[in-house]
Amino acid sequence: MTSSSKKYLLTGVSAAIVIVFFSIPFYQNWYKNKVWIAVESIPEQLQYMEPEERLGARLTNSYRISAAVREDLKNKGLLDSAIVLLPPQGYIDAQKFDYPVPEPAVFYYYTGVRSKWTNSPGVENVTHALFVMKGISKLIPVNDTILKEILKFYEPYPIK
Amino acid sequence: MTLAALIFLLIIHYCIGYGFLRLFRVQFNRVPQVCLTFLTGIVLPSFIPFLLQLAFIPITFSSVLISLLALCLLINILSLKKLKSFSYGSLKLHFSPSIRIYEWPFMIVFGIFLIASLWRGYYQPVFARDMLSGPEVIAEYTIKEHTMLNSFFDVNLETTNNHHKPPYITGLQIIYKYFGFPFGQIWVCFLAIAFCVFLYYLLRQKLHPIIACTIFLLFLAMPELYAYTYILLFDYSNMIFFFLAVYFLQYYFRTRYVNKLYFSAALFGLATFMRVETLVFTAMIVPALWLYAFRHKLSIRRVALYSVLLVGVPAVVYFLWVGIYLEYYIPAKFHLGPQINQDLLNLQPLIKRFREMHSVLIFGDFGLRLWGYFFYFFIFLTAADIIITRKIDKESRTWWYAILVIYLGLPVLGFLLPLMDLMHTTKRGLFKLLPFMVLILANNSILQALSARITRWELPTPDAKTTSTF
Repeated sequence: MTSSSKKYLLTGVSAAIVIVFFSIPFYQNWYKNKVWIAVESIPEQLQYMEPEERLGARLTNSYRISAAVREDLKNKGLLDSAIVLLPPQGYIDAQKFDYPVPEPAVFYYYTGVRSKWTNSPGVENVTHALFVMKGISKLIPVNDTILKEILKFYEPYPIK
Repeated sequence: MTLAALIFLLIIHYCIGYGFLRLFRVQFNRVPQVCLTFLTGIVLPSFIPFLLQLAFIPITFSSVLISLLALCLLINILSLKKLKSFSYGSLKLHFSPSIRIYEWPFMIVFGIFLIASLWRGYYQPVFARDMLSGPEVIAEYTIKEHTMLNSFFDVNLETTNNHHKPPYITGLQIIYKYFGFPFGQIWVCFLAIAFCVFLYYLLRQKLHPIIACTIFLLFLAMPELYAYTYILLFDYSNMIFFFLAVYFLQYYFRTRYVNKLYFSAALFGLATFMRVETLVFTAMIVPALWLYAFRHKLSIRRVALYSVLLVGVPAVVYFLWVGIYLEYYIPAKFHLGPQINQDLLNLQPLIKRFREMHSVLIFGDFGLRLWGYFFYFFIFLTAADIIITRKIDKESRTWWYAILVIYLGLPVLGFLLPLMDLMHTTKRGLFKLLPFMVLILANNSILQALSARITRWELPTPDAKTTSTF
C-alpha cells in the first residue's frame, strides 16, 4: 500500500469516527439542537441586526415589556425621575402572563429606570407601578394610597 | 467600521501579548505561540479600565485608547530588540499550520463548532443573569458616565452580589463597547478559539492526529463547557489561565527555566483577576513546588522565594480588588465575614457537597447532560492505563496534583462559603479539571502505543515518531 493510499484510508477512518460519534443519540441531539441550529439561523438573523431586535429575541418578554416601560416613561419625560414597582413573579405566573420579572439591577440595564420589588428597601418611594391584569401590562402612576393597596394586593405573592 | 475596529483590537491584542511573552522569554512553535500571544494579549487590557478607575481618571474612549497604546508600547519597550525583528512576514508565517488530510473531517466539525460559537458571541446580547446584574451593567453605564462607580450603584442591589465580582469582564466589555460592539463579549470566543487550538497542539505533540482529534472532539462536545465558549462569564477564562499557570509551572519542573516559573506566577495572577478564589487554589498548588524542590535539592531560600512569588502575584491582584477597590471605592461594601460558614465544626455540609459533586454534577443524567461521555471515557482509559502499566506517567503527576487541588478545593470552598453553591460555582469550577484530563489522556500509554503503531504503519521509516507538524 502506498503512502498516499494509507493517508486516504486514514481519512476514511477519521470520517467514520466522526459519523459514529454523531450517530450516538446524545451527541446527535445536542449537535442538532445547540450547534447546527446556530449556524442554520445565521441567514435569518442577518436580517435583524439592530441591537434592540437582538435584545428582544434573546431576552424575550423580560426585555420587551421592560423596554415598553422605558418608552412610556420617555414619552412622558419621566425617565430619570421615575421609580417603578415591579410585580412579584408569583403574581405574574398566577396571571399566566409571560413576563420573567427582572430584578432591579437587571431592569436598570434594560431600561435605565430605577425600580423596586415589593420587598425592596425604600419601596414607599416608587412613583409608578407596572401592573398586569387580564393579559395586559400597564404602567400606572401611584400615590401613597394606591401603593398601599397594590402592596396589599400583592401580599399573597411574597418574593422568595 | 466594526470590522476595522475588530482588526485594530486584534492587532493591539497581538502586540500586547507579543511583548508579554517576550518579557518572560516564552517561545513555542509558531501556532501555540500565536495562541498564547492572543490569550495573554486579550486578557491584559482588561486591567486598563480598572486601573484608570483606581487613579480616578475618567474612562472615556480617548483614555482607553491611549492606555491601550501605552500598554502596547511599554510592554514591548522592555523587549525592544525582539520587537525590531517583528515584521508582517513573520506574522504571515505564523498562520501556516500544516494539517494532514485525515484531520480534515474533524477540522470541518471543529470549524462548525467554532463558527456557531463566534456567531453567537457576536450576535447575541449578554444573557447570563450574573452578568446582567453586575459586570455588564457596570460596563454599560461606564460608557455613558465614564466611571465604573456609576449610577448602577444607586439601584437596589439586595438581590445581587455580582457587582463585587472582579473587574476582568467589566474591563474588556468597556473596551469592546467603546470600539463599537454593543454587546462586547466576542472576545470570549477569541479566547476560546486560541485556547482550543493551543490544547489541540498539546495533544498533537503526544498522539497521532486521529487519536488527538477524537479526544479533542469529546472535549469540545461537552455541552456545558461548549456553551461557555460564547456565554459571557468568568469560568471559561479562569479555566484557561489556571491551566496555563499550572502548565508553565510544570514546564519549569521539566526544564528548570526559572522564567517559566515567573510566567506561571503571572498567569496565576491573571487567573485570580478572573475569580478571586484562584488565590486559594494557587496556595494549594505550591506544595507541588515543594515536592519538586525536595527531589531536586533546591535551597530553602530559593524555594521560599519561589513560593512567595507564586502566591504573591495573585495576592497582589486580590488585594488590589478586594483590599482596595471593594473596601475604599465601591459604594456597596463587600464583607467577607458574614459569608463564611459559622458552623465549621459541623462537617455534614462538606460531606454533602462532596457527595453531590459526584452524584449530581459528574455522574448520573445531569452529569451526562453537562459533560457528555467525557468523564466516562477518561475514567475508562485512565484506569486501563494504570492497571496495565501500574504507574502514573511522570509528567501526568503534575496534572493529577492540579486535579486533586480542584477536586478537593471546590467542595471545601463551598463548605467555607455557602454562597459558592453546587449548581453554579461548583459546577463551573469543575471546568478547571477538564484540560488536565485531556493532558493525562495525551500521556496515556495505551493511546501513545496505539499512536506509535498507526504512525509506524503510516510512515514505515525506522525512526518514525509521533510528532507535531505544526
